[in-house]
Amino acid sequence: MENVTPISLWIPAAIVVAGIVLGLLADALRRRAAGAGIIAASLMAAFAVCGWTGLTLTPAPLLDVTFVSGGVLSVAASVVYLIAALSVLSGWKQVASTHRGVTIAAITAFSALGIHVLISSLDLLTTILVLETIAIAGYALVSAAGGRRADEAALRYFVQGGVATGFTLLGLAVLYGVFGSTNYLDLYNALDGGSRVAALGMVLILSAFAFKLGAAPFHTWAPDVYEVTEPSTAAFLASAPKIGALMALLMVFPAGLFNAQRFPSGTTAIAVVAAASIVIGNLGGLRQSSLTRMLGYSGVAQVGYGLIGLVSGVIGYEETAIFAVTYALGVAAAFFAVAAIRERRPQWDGSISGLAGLAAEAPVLAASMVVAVLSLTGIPLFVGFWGKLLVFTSAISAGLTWLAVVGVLGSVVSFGYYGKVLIAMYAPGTTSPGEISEPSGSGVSSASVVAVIAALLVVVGGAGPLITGISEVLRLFTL
Amino acid sequence: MGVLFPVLLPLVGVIVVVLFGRGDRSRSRLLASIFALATFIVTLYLAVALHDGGPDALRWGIEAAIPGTGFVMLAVDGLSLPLVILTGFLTCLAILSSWEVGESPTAHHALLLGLEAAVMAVFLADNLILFYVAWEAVLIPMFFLISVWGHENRRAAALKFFIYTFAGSALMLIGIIVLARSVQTLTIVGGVGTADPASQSLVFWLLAAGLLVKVPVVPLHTWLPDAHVEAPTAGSIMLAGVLLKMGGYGLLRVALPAAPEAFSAAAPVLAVLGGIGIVYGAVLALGQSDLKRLVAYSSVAHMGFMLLAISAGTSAGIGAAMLIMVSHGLVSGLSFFLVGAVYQRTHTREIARFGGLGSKIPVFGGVFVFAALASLGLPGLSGFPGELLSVLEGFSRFGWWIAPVGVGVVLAAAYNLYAVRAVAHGTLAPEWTDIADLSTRERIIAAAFIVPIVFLGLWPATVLSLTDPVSKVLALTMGGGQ
Repeated sequence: MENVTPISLWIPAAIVVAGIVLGLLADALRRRAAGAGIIAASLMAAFAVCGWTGLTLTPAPLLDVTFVSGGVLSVAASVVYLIAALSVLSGWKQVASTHRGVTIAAITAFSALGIHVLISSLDLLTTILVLETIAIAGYALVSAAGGRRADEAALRYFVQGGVATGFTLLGLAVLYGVFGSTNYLDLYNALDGGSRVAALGMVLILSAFAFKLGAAPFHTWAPDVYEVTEPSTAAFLASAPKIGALMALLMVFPAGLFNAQRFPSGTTAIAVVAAASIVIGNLGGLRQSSLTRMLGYSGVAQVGYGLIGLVSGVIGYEETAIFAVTYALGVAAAFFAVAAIRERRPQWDGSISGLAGLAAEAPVLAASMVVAVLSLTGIPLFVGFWGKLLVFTSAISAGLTWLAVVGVLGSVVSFGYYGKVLIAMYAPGTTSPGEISEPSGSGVSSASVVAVIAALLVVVGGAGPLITGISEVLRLFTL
Repeated sequence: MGVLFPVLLPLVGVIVVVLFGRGDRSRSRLLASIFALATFIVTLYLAVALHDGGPDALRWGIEAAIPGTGFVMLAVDGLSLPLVILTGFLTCLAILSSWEVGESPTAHHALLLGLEAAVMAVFLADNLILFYVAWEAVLIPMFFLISVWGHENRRAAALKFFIYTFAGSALMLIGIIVLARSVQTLTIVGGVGTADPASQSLVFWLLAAGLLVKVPVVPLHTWLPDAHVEAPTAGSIMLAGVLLKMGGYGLLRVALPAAPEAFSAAAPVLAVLGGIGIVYGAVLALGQSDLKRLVAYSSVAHMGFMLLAISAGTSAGIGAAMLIMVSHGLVSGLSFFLVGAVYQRTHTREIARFGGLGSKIPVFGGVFVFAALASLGLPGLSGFPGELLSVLEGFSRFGWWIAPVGVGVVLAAAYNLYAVRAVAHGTLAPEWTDIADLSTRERIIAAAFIVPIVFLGLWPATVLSLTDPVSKVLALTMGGGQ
């Protein structure tokens, strides 16, 4: 076991770094399709390695407890790599033909790698460094969409992110200055619940994470960013960093550094943030007419559900991880479907009502969107159900029934906007048959293939546990 | 193993219809009806197996690594069997009555089969999680059946239907989780564990939130008329005939055994809700100008009788509730079929515009009068024994408090006879002079409804003998009589 453990972090990291370097090299030689292909292939390879190590290895610390990898952590990382690979493939039309496209692919891969390190980090300094790496990659991905609105959104994202970074660094300085270490284990032993300084550090770091997650009240960047970013890129931005941030929070909060026994106020704070995110996200989502903006607000609410798992403490560990992964798959599937729709209907204004007639025009694509949306609602048979079921169960186990009730009622409200998407797609189209523009490019586009693949993952993940039993799912995530 | 097929066959049917029926109406409906019929035959086989006591056919499950965590676990007993047979039967007739569906027939029939599979899974689930999964899965095909094939306001009605029932069932999910944590087991048919006394009333009311929306009881019923009216004929038949039964079934199968003390304490509340449903549903039915809406509100009244019967908490009351559910499935199915048939000919459901149809299309008129009589509970037809027992059991438990229910009985006669007079009798409106009578296909459907309605009216013991062993156990759990 000892000698194979490093495989779970170093090997996939090396593969992705090599893929990025070779891909950019190929791009410099104007072999763009090859470059993008190399990057996508390296991400798929990293997915395979992480998936395999996740299923076979129990988590073990590396480099004297600076990193931990294997088990649930590798499973989560494998999903991150998978979504990154699908994101590159979904935007293939642009990725494989332009310089900017290959750069986007490279940044996506780099960000995925950062998230993997974030998930594995057991050191506050490393955590903060990779959080910044991911954030900077995020700013680049947003502005890569081009146009003034994208620049504006990226700038707002950047400025708000800068404030969060400031909080984080201050928190780091406080903790390091007083307790003399950045390592989680050392800090865990040194921290004292009565200490005001420790509580200050906790508040600072918690607000930084809330920003990264897009949790209320630090959520205002999310809808803008999701709306203007290229949908194939947004699929990655909306899903993978949330897996990373939630998993990293699991290391820091209730069970970890600032554990619930010593810092009950931290648990209360997260519970309030969770409830606020659910309420604000769902009510905000109801008012949106733009599909991607709506997904932005719904993302705020979904983070709230994830935080429910988090406040449940030790009981909620696996549950939170499963929720993060199931949400990521659902929202990525939704954005991949958006990417395919955008490619099919270049004139589409992005509004929900503009989806009218889609089901008649492209039934398989519409069905993929149905699957994604029902999964996000948390309807059984789709993977999102298991995530919600488990976080609500963990909340009830932890005696937080009220939070579970807020969560389920939020899910009900969410169908108010998710359902509108279904209704719109199956409504008759407004354009007469002659006006429908033929999809550009012949045959099936890569974007729609990716949308269908993502939807199939959501269905298999949703229906599979019915046959294998939930214990099999839990086994994947046992730390 | 046999118990797997009522769920599996329709699912296979969905795939077969989608793959081989694509865009071809006659092939889709033929394939769909073959699968629906095969499923119905399997449900009859289950009845034989139950009678012979063959345990192998009655249970099925995939064992997971940890016992009790496998999710696909199915079982059938006397409480679920009548509803399983009803579901199989009504699905056949729903497909047959949407024989001429115009828009995307392949998808329509596939959704109907998918709906059947989900409903079967609700009735057969032997696991609380599977029960909930199936419960929610029912919403998906129904949502699309209403929103794509429905009438004018179908989209708003579909959304309202989904959100209302989802709101209830989301709370039910919390109830299930609290219950499962309290009893540490997920099995259903072998007996849901009893929650600890302290959390019983929480568990009961959380579960009831989902179940009572589905029944529906009066303050929570407002999704029903919209959904029923806007749904296509097959959707209305399934909605009224089968989906409403999930509420009553859930009360008996899960809520009652899980929280017997809370159930006893809540019984007067349930009885009042039932009584309100009986009277208020009948009053509203009487006030409708839309024929389909009238039938929809009559469901509220009938389900009120069902709830009253359950609240009595006796073995006979539970048997009566089952009898009412089966009977209402048949009678409301027939009524919605007739409304659909007349709508197809006239493109209106406005009662005032009909009149004298009985003289012009006598077969339709005759069946319509029959349906109205069955609905008002004429002795000799299936509605009578269940509702009589319901009132008797209610009286023995609550005494004269249930007297207002008598008003509901009179009103039921009033709105049904009003419908008969307005639609079948009177003078023929000039606009319907060249209207056609029921076709051979439609006569077969009508006959298929009429035969069991008469049969159950004469031999209600057919259902009661099935439910008796289970309802005795349930009544004992409550400490009720007999």
